[in-house]
Amino acid sequence: MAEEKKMPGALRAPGAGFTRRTFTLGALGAAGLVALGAGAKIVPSKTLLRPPGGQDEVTLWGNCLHCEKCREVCPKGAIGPTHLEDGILNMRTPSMDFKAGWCDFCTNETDGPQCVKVCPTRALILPAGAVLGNTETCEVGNIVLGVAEVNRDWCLAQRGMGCHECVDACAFDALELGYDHVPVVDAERCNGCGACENACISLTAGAIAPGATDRAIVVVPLS
Amino acid sequence: MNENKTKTYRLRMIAMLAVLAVVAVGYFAAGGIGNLCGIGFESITLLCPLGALLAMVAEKTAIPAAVVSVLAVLVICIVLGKVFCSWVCPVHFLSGSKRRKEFRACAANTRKDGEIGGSNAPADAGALTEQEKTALSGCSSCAAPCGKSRGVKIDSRHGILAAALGSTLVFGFPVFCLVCPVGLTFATVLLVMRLFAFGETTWTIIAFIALIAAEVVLLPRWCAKFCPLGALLSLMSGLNRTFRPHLNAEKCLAESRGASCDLCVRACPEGINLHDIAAGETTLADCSKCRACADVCPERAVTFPLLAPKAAGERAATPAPAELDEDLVFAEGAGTDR
Ligand code: SF4
Ligand code: SF4
Ligand code: SF4
Ligand code: SF4
Ligand code: SF4
Ligand code: SF4
Repeated sequence: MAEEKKMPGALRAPGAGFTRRTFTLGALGAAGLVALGAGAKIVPSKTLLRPPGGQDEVTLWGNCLHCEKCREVCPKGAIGPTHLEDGILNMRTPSMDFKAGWCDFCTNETDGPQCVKVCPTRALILPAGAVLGNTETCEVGNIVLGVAEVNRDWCLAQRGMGCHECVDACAFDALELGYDHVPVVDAERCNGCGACENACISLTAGAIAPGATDRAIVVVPLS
Repeated sequence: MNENKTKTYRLRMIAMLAVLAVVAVGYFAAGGIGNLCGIGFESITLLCPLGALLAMVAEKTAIPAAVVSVLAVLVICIVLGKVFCSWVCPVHFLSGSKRRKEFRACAANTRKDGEIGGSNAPADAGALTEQEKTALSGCSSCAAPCGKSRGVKIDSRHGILAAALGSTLVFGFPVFCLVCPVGLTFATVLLVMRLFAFGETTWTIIAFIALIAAEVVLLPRWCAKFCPLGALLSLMSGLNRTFRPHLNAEKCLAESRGASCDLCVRACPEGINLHDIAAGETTLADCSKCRACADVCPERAVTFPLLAPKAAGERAATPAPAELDEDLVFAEGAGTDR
């Protein structure tokens, strides 16, 4: 076609070629969006740790407009941005970053979880009958972000260094030292607040276990 | 050439950078300012109108903050028009240099066409119009620059807007937001700040920058051809009657002395032809009040009165001749000449 050869001036070559071009661009753009939507749904997305109220992933994906407000207001700095590596659908949605902070469910804030409060689109919304963890009363609550897992090979206590940082950090009595002084998680009492992961010194102090790629205690999503 | 040095351009740049700076500071302060997808303080938030619509479509329910935001943006659009695009949106500036280059290429092109012989282009145009009409049947009048001087001219952006809403309905999440260059620009700012602040490295930064570059540099004119957010704002601005550009016919070189001046037409980033609205790519609904036309006019013939004087209103209100086929072909030719 004549106008195809005359790029880029021909982008707006006079005449109705413009019309067809407009239609083509619109159709291509529309097709692109549909393909993107289907693609994003097909490509598997990692299950991530979410702030309180973000446990229903479908609602979070549908409503989150990526305004970053929840991340900004968290008094504990426990919310981090999500990356492409976590799946296309998760891109720019909020997820917990327990290396940076942990979630105390805003126990000391008068009006409840700040992240839920600022979310303008109700992407973070507490279900009816939600009971939040309370670090003062040790109430575990029924909003569970994930569950802690100990990697015994990487744990300093396992190698006789007498570490119990995580046990001390847990406000919900979900951790105790086992028979060999290595911490054991009580999954019934762990609400995934991340205090243990935040406190774990296995990657920063003492003799770091060979091959350790993460802290010895991390919170993982509920399967 | 030095249109990017004009006073308004600098002002607009400052306004855009100020918003960017507030958002960037907010990213690291605990105020919860958010970004252009949702901006405000604490629990008061003005959502991006497109995002707000998409979130409600995805959930198939009304979200109070989203409804309020759409209405608030509608009011802003009625009073100020599509100001967001040239005063706040960073993408407008990102795609600016590319656009200016095209202006020059296009201007040179039309000049050449004129010299070689005008018969070539219109003949072509006529043939394609017929083909178009049969191919698109009912739609041809809308997909084309149909010579409307009022209301909104529907173009490819509006098609993409419809697809953005449709795909969200089908897939249950705001699909367009994944690739929206406005949102991605702010996401990139955040990631770059975190890269420097915490040494947080991620492929996402490179992916986002590549995506933005692909959209605003590789695609022909993102804002004019693709952006569904711009399309939504232009639809909302269809009701705008205030602060619209007004050409003073007595001062304008082309209107008063018949000179071949089309500086204002070529300066307009939104494709508006102030000499003959019907001939432009878009109507005044797409005016982003960037003032490029006013700044470029040697006679200062373009003003932005609160309400357009009567005479201008009457002139714009005579779309009848534009419906004739001859005028339509002429309109299309002229509309693309910028
Ligand atoms: S509940 Fe409070 S501490 Fe927990 S993530 Fe939300 S804002 Fe942060
Ligand atoms: S506040 Fe809500 S909409 Fe904004 S990023 Fe957080 S979850 Fe998404
Ligand atoms: S803080 Fe880490 S290293 Fe120390 S006992 Fe707990 S899991 Fe082991
Ligand atoms: S990503 Fe773009 S379309 Fe989506 S909410 Fe943000 S600015 Fe609006
Ligand atoms: S058309 Fe879209 S990308 Fe361009 S300035 Fe307007 S909102 Fe921004
Ligand atoms: S008509 Fe003037 S003010 Fe409006 S968008 Fe075009 S150049 Fe800018």
